[in-house]
Amino acid sequence: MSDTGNEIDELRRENESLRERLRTADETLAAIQEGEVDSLVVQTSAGPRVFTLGDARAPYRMLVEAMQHGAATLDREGVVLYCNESLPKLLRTPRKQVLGARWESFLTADSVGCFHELLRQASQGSVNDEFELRTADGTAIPVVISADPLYLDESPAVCIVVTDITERKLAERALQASEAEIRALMESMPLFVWVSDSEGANVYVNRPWIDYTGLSRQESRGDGWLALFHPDDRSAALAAWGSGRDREGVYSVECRLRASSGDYRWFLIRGLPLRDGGGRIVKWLGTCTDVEDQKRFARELQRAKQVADTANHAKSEFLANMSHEIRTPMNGIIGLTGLALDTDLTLEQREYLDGVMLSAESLLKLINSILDFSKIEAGKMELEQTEFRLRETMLMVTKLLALRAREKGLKLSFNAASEVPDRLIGDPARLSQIVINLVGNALKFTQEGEITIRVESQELLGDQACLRFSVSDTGIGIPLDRQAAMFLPFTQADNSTTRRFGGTGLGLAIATQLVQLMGGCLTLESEVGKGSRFHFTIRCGLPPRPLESPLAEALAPDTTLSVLADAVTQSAAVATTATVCASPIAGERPDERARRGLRILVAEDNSVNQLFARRMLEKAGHSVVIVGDGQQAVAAVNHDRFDLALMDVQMPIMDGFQATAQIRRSESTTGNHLPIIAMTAHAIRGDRERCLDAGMDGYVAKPIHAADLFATIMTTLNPPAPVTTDPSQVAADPALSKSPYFDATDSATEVDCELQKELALMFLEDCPSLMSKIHAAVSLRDSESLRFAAHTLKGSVGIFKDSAAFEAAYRLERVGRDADWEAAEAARDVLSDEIRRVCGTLENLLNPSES
Amino acid sequence: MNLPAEPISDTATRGDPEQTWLLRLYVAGSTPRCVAALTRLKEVCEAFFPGNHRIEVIDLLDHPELAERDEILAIPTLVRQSPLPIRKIIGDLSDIHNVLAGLQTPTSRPSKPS
Repeated sequence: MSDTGNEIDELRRENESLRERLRTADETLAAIQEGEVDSLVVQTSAGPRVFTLGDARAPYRMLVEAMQHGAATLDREGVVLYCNESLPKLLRTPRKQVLGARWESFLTADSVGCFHELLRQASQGSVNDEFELRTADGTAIPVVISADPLYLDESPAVCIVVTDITERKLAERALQASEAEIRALMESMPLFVWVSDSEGANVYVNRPWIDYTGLSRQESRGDGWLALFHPDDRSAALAAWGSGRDREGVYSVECRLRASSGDYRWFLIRGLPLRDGGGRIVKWLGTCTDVEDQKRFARELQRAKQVADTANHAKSEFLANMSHEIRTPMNGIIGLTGLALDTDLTLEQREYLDGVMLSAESLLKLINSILDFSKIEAGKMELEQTEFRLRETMLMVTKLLALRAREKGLKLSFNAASEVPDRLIGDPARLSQIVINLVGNALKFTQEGEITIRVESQELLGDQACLRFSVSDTGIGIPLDRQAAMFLPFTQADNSTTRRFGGTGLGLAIATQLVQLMGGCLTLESEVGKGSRFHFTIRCGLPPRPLESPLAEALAPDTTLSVLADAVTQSAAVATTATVCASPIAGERPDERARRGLRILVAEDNSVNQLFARRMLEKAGHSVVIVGDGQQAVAAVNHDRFDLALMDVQMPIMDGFQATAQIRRSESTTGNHLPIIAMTAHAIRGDRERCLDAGMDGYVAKPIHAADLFATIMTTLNPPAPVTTDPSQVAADPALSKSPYFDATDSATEVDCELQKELALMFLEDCPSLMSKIHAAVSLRDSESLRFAAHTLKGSVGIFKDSAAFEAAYRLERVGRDADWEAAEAARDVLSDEIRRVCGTLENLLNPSES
Repeated sequence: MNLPAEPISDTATRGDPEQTWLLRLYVAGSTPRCVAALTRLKEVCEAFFPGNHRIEVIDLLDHPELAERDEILAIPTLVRQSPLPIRKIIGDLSDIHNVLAGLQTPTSRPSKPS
């Protein structure tokens, strides 16, 4: 009994002890699972030994615990065997409740089925999917769960990692929203928006594209878009696309695209390649902007501009024509006023008519300005290309203006640098016009001091010369802010200027345009109160080199008279180019008539030439009637008596040849003979012959030079050279004013002086041989040689305007022709004396110290 | 916290030896769980048995043979030596309810008075 009782007690104790051990084991296991234990005591043969868990697994465990993601080990049934610290936090559930729980209890109902599937797949390998967790407080959290197979103690299990993708989902949703916004925007834009792949196949087009092309979204995909391009634009579109490949940024091209209606409209196509890190094009983004309206506006604008230009052109042409038409009656007014002034008038009548003349002339000047301006505007201004002498031309201009300078007590001087070539090819009349305008302005705005015209050589290149002119004054100057406006037509420095100084404001605009036509530019520097300086450059041609000594060659025995005359013209600033073929009018001594002034008819349609002729002739004391065409010339001759007519060859309505023929016809009944001198721009021999054949008496080349003209008039009427200059017109060089042989007007400049000296030298060289020829001819009674030599000498002394010597030579020429040898010997002696005197004077001029 | 290398006795306890709580903590060096357990034990004793407890810390790294006496399997383990019955609490004492249950309510568990 007691044994049994003891056994029972023993059993109970053992049972109790086992229970205790079991409990301890349970608790130990739980503690291990909880991670509250870090060392285990293991019984070994050597006794208990401590194993620190941390030694082997701590790094991994720490990693797992430190993870942001939740991590857990599940058994085959989905029961949580282990979880890290993040997982209970994610589930908002105490770890204790997570451990041992079934994982599916933390999933939303929708996710459970999927999770079973995941578990099944996870036994094969790594898988992952999205699920929704349900937390203790009922919140649903989107997660990604990745599952991997795991073997724990030989039994299959699954290791899962749970990642919270709430943020990602929010971002995705935001992205989707903004994408939807952008897409809505693109769909509602008026532009076409397209996206294509790297090869140009469309992957997206927006609604306006679809609406325009009439293609469906599906049809718009791919590379069918090229077919929508206008056939003429396809290659350009492809080329632009190709160029977009090769460079950064946006390419653009304008092409026509076909609408669903079949019509084409212009579009501006812009495309941008998107590249990957390696620079390869991934896709293209682009737009098409409808520019049809813009294009149309531009075209219309262009057309409107053309219309406006045409209208402006027509206006200019009209103005030009009108100006031309107005000049005809103006010529009538001026001509008839001139005629009236020539009659006996009371002082009062003369005063009035002078006023009429003055007004008419300024009106004519104004009309000429407008005509010039209109011509330039209408693109009708054509410059002449003739050979001329710069110094001679500038001298004429200076002389023209000298009178006005003197009236105001101003000094006017002209200076040409020595390197400036004298013989040029260009338009001397227009060059003169520019200088006259600039000097005219300077005269207008200068009260005291001087005006200087300078010419320098800027560039000499082969057969081209670039010359730089300047006209400076000591006038009122132009404020800086007004200078630009000065060059605009119809503008003056100050509106009050017009009232004070008059003028149209066209002059400078014309000068500017003329300078531009001559390949240069006109500039201005000016300081108020100090004066102004206008500069301009022009390009001129240079003629081939002249003969070494034209006069010497001209004096060779076989040289004809006319060649001699030409040679003298070329070598001298003042010379004769006369072709002598008129006989003097019987009765009156021509020189007397010349001195009292001739009545001269000028038939000339060119306004500048008219003015030039009028000025020159009137200054020489003649009275002038100007007509604009041959018909008027014939009418004037029929109604009035003239001593001389200057006839332009080319004129409207009736040209100079026809007019001359008509005049000669009517003269055949009256027996009169009006000396007619032709004026022509065509300085060729054939033209001269034509003039003479047409019944003209003389010939002068255009542009007309005063010296040429007077010499021609002189020889045509056969008087000795009339001294017609007013020495007070120009401030004369004091050194030259002593010389009796140089007209003060001709020696206004140093250059002129140099020329005169050169001529004098040439004369002194050539004179002895000419004189010995004359002596020989008289001794040998060779009338032909005598006539030639005397004529040549006459031309030479004519240059120096020595009328005594001229008359002596002239007389000898006459008697030589008449073969009156007694008179010839006397005339020879007179001529010898005169020539000796002339030579002495010239020598004194050349070497003043010896005198 | 540095633990003494030798088993130590907390001499702060006073009064009736019958009322003194004798608590023996088995550790193995200064592992994080052992340090946490000692800290927690001191807090609990100060709070619940001020003046009448004694803590004995036994480091099994130095004296592994001492594990046999109380049949220690895992470290840290707290053994309530007194009052009887002997009770073991396995782990780092982080679960305060578990600790209090193990220490203060001896009747809550089947026990056999000797």
